[in-house]
Amino acid sequence: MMQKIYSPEKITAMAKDLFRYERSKQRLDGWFIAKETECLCKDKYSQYDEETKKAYILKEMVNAIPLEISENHIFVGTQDDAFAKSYALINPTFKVEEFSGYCDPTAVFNDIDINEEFTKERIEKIREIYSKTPYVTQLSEVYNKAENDTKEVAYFIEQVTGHLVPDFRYALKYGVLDMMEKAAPAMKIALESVIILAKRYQELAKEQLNGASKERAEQLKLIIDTLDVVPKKGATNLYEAIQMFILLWQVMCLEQSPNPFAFSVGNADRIFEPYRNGLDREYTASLLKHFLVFFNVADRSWAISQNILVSGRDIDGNDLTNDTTYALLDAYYDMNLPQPILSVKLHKNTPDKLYGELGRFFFSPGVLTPSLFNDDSLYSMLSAYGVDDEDLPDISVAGCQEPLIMGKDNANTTNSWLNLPKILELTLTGGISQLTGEKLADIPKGNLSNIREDFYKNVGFYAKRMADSANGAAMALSNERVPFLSCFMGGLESGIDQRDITKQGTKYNGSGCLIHGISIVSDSFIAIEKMLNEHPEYADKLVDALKNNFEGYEEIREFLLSCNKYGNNIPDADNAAVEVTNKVADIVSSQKNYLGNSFRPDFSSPSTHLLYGYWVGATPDGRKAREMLGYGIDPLFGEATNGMGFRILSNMKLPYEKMVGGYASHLGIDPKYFRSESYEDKGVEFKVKIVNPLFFSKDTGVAPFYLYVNVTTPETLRKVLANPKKYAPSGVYIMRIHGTFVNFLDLSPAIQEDIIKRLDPHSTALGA
Amino acid sequence: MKIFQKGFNYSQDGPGNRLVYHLSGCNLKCRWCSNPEGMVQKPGKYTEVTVQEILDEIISCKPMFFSGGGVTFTGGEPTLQFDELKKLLTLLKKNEINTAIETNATHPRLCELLPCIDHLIMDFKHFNKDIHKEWTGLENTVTFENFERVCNSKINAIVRIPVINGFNNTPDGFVEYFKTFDTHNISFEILPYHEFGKVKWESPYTVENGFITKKDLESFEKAFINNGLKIIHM
Repeated sequence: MMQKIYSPEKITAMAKDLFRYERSKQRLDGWFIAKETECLCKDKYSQYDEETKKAYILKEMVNAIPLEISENHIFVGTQDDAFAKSYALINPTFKVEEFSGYCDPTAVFNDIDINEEFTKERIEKIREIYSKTPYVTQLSEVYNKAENDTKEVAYFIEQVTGHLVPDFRYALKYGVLDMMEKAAPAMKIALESVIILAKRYQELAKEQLNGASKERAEQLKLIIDTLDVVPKKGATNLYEAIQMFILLWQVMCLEQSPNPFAFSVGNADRIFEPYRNGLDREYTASLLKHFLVFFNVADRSWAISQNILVSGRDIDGNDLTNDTTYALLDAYYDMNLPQPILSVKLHKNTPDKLYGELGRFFFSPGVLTPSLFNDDSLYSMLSAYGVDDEDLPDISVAGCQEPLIMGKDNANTTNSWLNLPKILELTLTGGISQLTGEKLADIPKGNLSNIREDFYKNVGFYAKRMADSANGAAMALSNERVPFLSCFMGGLESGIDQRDITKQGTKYNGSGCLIHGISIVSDSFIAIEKMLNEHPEYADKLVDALKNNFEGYEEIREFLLSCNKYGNNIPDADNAAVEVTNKVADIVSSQKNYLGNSFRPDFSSPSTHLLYGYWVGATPDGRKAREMLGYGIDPLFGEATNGMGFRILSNMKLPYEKMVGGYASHLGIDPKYFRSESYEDKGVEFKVKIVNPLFFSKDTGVAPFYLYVNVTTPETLRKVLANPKKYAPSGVYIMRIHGTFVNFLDLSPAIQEDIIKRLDPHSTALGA
Repeated sequence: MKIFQKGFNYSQDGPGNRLVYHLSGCNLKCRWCSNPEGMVQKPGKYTEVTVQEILDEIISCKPMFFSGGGVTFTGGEPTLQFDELKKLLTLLKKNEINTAIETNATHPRLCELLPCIDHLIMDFKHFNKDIHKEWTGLENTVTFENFERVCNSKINAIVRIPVINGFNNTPDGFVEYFKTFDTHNISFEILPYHEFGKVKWESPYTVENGFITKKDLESFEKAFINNGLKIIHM
C-alpha cells in the first residue's frame, strides 16, 4: 500500500518541505495551553493520589492541544507543544554575564509573545497558579537556601526533566492495549492518552479527506488505516512503527511540558530494524527522514539535545550494525538538520564500511558530525559499576553524552554542577569572592604549602551542600508525577512512578554531578608548588595578584604561565590532573541522593565552562578573571601546544572508570591532515589517525569512551561568519557544541567565539 | 640533546604513527629549507634534555606507536649530536622501539648508527659536488660515500631527492650515478619543491621560481623506473 502511494523521492521531498514549514514557525503556544489546562483542571482531581491525578490531567492536555496535519506530513504527531523558545544558547540575545540557569520554573512564562489570544492577563493568571504549586514553592525554598553558594556558582543545582531514554520496544511490539492490561491504575489511565491522541488525529485526517486531491486522499487514508492499528496494537511494518514511536514520544514530552530537554531515543537502528521487512535502504532512509524532522521544533529547533544512537556491539563483542544503521546515516546526511543529535557506538570490531560511511559527515563542511562512543570501554566501565550483562547492549546516551541504560536507568543527569576553580578561589581567600569581595562561605583560608589537602577539604564541604540542595530539587520535582513515561522506564513491572522519591521505580538510579575545571585546578597546583620552590618571594603576593587580575603582577603571571600544563604528556602536570579527577570523583560518589544511591561524577561542561568561568576570578595557573574554564576533561585552550599525539597521551591517563556519569572532550581537527581522495577513504583514515589511538590503544584500565569533533579551522569559521550567503547558502551550517549540534549561524556571538577558540589547532596538530 | 620541535605524524617520516624529534643545528644551509629555525643552535630556540629524559618520554608514548610506528629523529641534522643520538638509539632498540632517522648523510660515521636504525631516510640532493655546495654551502663527498655504504649494508633505506627548479629538475646525472650501484634495498622518493617553510625564514629567502612542473616530476619518476630504480610515495 505505502509503496504504491509514495516513491522514496516523493517522501524525501515532503520531508524537506516539512522541515522548511517547521522552521517557519515563529510561535510556540502549545506548552502554555497544556500548562493552562493542567492548572485549571487540577482541583477536579484532587481526591486522587498524585499519579492518578497526573494521569487524568494528561488526558485533559491531550484533548486540549490544537492538532495539525500539514500537507507534507506523512506521519501525524509533533513535539512542538512540549517546548518553549527558552534554550539560551541558541538565542541571539543570550549574554554570558546574564545567564542565571534554569532554576525558576515560572521564567518560561516570559518566553511567550503576548498577542490577542495569549494576553498578559491570561499568561499571568496561569503563572500565578503555577507559582503556588508545591513543586514551585518547594523548589524556590531550595534555591533560596543555596543562594550564597550558587550566586557565584561554587555549585549549581537543577530539577531534571527529560534527560532519559524510554524503552518503547515492548509497546512497538505488543501495542498499548496489551500494556494497559498489565499497568497499575494510574499508568493505565495515562496510557489511554496516546490512544485518545491517535483517535483525534485520525478524525482530523478524515475531515481533511473532504476536498483533498486524489493523491493526498490516498496518503490520508494510509494515515487513517495506520491509526486503526497503532498505537493500540503492535506495529507490523516500518511505517507503523515510526508512526507509533512518534505518538508515544509526543505524549511523553507533553507530560513534562514545558521543556523536557534531552529525552533520547537509544539505538534507533535496532529499534526499527525488526519492522523493516526487507524494505530497501533508500526507502527506509526516506521514511526515517520524516522521523528526523519530527525532532525539530519551530524556527530554531528548540527541543535541544535529543540523541539518536547507531551501531555498537553485543556482549560477546560482535558488531550490531544493520541495514537500518546505514539507512539512518543516509537520512541524516541528506537532511543535515540541527536536531536530533547523532551518536555512534564504535568498538574494536566495528567494520571499516561504517567508518567509510561516516567519512562524509566528518569531511563535508557545515554537515553534522556524530559523537563517538567507545562501546568496549563503556561495557567495561558500566559493568564494573554494577550494570548487568544483559543490559549492556542497551547502553544509551541521554542528552549530550551521559551513558545510561535504555528504559532502566533514572540518572537525574544534570541534577548538580560543581565548579572546582571557584572552590579553589574560595580556598585561597577563606571564602571571599575575588570578583566582588563578598564573603560567600565560612571556611578557613587555605595554606599554599598544603593547598591540595585544603582544597579537597573544601570540595567535600561544598559537595555535601550541593547534594543536599540537588536532592531538594529532586524532591520538589517529585510532586509532578510522570505515569506515562514510567510505563517505559520499568513502571509496567514495578508499578512505581519514575519520580517516586521513596521507592525506586527504575532498575538503576543515581544523580548526576557535572564537574568543571579539573585542568585549571591541577595546573594551579603545579604552578603553586613550583612557585614555592623557585620563587618563594611570590607566595605572599599571590592572592593579591589574583585579586587584581595580575595587573601590576605581570612577572608573577609570566612565571605561572610558564609552569607545566596538563595536555602535553608531561608527567607532573598529568599526574596532578589524574589526582584531581580521582579525588573529586570519590568525593562526589560518596554523596547520596534521595534514594540513597550515589551521585555519578560527570566531567562535562555543556557550555558551562564559559558561563561558570565568568564567575571565577584569576587562577594560579595564570588564567585571568572571568575567562572560560577548560572544556570537560580537555586541557585549557592554548595550554596543550605539542599536538594531537601528546594531547591524547595525557588524556589517556585519566581514570575513566570513575567517570560513570560521562565526560566531555572535543577535538578541532584540521582537514588538511587527511589526504585520501574519497569520503569513504577519509573515514577509514579518520579511524586510523583519531579513533584507534584515542579509543583502542590504551593497554591497561578503562580507555577513553567519548569524543566529538569539528573538522574545520578557525579561518574557515570566520569566513562563514563574514559571508554566510557564500559559505552557507541554505542558512544552515551545522557545528558541534558540546554534545549537541547547532546551526552555527543561529548561535549567540559569545558561543560562536567559544567554538572558534576551542578548535585550538596547536593542540590537535597531526604533523611535526 | 637540543630539540627545537617535536610531535606526532602519521606515515610521513617512516611507517605508522611516529613521534618525530627535530634536533637543533645543521651543517648545511639549503636555500629551500623548510625548517630554517633549526639551522643554528641559538640559545632560547631549543630545549635541552638528557638522553634519559627523552628515553622516558618516548617510552611513555608507546601506546601511540600504532601501525608499525615509532620514533624518528630529524632536524636540523640529527647526526650533529652524534654521540648522544647513538646512545639514545641503542637504548631505544633495547626497549624494542621502532627507530628512524632522517639525515643529510654528510656525517662520516653515519653507518655506525645502522645497527640500531629500522628505517634510514637519507637525502641525496645533487650528484654534482660543486652545485651542491653552491646551493647548500657544503660539498657532498661524504654523502656519496655513505650512499655506497648503505647500498652495501642491505639496510632498507629511502633516499629522498628534493627536486627544485633551477637546481636539479632533470633526472639526468642522478640516474647515471645511482644505476652503478646495487640498489635493491633502496627506495627513492622524489619530493617536489614547496614553500611551506618560507614564512619562517628570518634572513632573505633566495630560491626564485623553485616549483617544478608535473611533467618534470613525471620525467623524473619515469627515468628512475626505466632504470630499475624503485620509486615510492609517502
